[in-house]
Amino acid sequence: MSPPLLKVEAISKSFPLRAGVLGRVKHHLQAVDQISLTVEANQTLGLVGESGSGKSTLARLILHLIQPTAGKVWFEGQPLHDISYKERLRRRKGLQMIFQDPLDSLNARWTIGQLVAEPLLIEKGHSRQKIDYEVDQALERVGLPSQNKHRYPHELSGGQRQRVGIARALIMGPRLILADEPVSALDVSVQAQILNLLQELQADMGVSFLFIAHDIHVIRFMSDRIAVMYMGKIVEIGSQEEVTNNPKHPYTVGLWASVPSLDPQPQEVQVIKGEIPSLIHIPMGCAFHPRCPVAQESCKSFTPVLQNIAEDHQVACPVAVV
Amino acid sequence: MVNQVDFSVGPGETLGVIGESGCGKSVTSLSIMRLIPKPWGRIDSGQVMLQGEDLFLRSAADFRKIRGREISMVFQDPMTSLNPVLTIGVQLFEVLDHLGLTGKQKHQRAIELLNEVGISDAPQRLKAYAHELSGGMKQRVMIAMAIAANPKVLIADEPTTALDVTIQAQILRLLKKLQSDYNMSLVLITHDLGVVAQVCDHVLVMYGGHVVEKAAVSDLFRSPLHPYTAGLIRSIKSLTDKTTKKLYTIPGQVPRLGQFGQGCVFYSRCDQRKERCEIEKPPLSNEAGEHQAACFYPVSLGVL
Repeated sequence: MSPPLLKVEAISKSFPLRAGVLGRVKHHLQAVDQISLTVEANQTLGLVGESGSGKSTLARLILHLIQPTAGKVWFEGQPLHDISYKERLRRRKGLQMIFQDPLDSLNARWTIGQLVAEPLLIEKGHSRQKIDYEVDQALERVGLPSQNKHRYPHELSGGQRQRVGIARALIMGPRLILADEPVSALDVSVQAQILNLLQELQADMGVSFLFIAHDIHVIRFMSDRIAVMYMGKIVEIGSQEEVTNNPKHPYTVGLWASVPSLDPQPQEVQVIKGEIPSLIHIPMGCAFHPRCPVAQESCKSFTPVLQNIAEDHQVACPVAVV
Repeated sequence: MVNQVDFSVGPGETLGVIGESGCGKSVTSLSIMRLIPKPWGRIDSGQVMLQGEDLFLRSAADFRKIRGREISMVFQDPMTSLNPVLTIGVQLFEVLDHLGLTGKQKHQRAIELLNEVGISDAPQRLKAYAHELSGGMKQRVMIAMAIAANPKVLIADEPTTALDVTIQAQILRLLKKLQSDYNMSLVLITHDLGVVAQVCDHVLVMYGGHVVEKAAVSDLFRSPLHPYTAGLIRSIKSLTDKTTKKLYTIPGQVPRLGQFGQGCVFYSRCDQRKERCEIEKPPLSNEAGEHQAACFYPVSLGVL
């Protein structure tokens, strides 16, 4: 069996917090805690969770834009950890990222053409004609007429800017794109256009996505598999059908129930009480127990691990599983 | 920017104002509050009636007695609306000063207000700074300030957009509770149709600075009349439907300000447009009593 396209093993990141005159490390903020996952070719893994759950940090750890405290990452069977910076740059060419707010992530003083060509310029050794050709191709793929090449980001609408962000990722011919909330800043009607585009790209090019969003409808539409994160850990992971139709973890159930339905009939929503606690003082035992409707005494001391409950469905909650 | 927007809210009623960014939702609310920055913007014409009195006839100084007292507002981003260098207490006291409370009374009322918006440990929280609170907490503080004077009308401009869904559900529930406790009229500005469906009685759909449809919530979702509303509902329904393979989209994008033609504002994106729509601006009709749409060729029933 060939190795998965992306394999992440027990990756963790804790940020030291310094305080006092001497700047001694007083606390650690555990942003991502022992996460393992795989993404197969031509597949989308959706990552959902509240802000502060570690979704974006995880994406950056995979790319080693942030150095992990522990853990390993393999891309196309080759390790991205424990290698030189130069070697990593070479290996992660097939691994690209799309960011949330294209107005923040695109240099305002560059034209669209320059922005899309940048990855090729960094790689060096391409002729001017080749770069022009590739830029036109990438823009066409994302549905932006090439006369936009000479315009600046502020001249485009939000949806068009996100298309530029996607074109920048595509120009390197990636196998996997890490999309960090790519549609959160967009209006509903534009959001649908971008989601359709991403689906088409997958069908045409066989590119895989690690798709981060907080909107569960968006996640469900895009994903083949879904991972739910809470306070730096995956609490539930499985096939899209299992996790959306048969959610087991009390956090997943509550998250699903919090989304306002389009049916104007008044519904008694089950509100998850409280808020996500500070990552510096993560509750003992199960991190979710202070907010959990089914928490028991044992949840305060026992840290749950992911357990198989069906084919491709794992849940980290012993209470919900029985 | 905003043209001939007309609506009314009864006591204890909730009106939703929905539309995409740039459609004029916020400008409408700022106009009501007379908070449009001068000299860049001005209100050319119109009336804001509160219990039968035209508020625009009042002087700017006189209007300050109304703003925050009779009509109050909660803004989208609690992170930027609170002063970072003052404690929550100081900012709450500022509001209460205007209401003529002093010393102990003020302190007492501040704690009452924080309790009312669901902030536990109120005496301690008064000493906290904005950065020590979570997004949801900050929004609760903003709501506490807004209801301090028992306003008759509360305008909430995207109050939950910056929050997580779990916190959004809590804040919406809080707003509804306060509304019935205080018998307030609530004007809820949002881009989220789900929020409208769950919270509002009536809806105003805005596009390009115009009201394109006005309806009771159940009518709007059952039988939208304007092609824009229908497209919006259809695109969201296709996202929530588990069998969808390709999402329904409204073609094109919202034109920039000043690029709207003389005809219907939705002309460039409409799939039902006819010649007449390009040259003539459709007025709000009065098709079915309270359900109105600004369209010559409204969508027929059962299209969704």
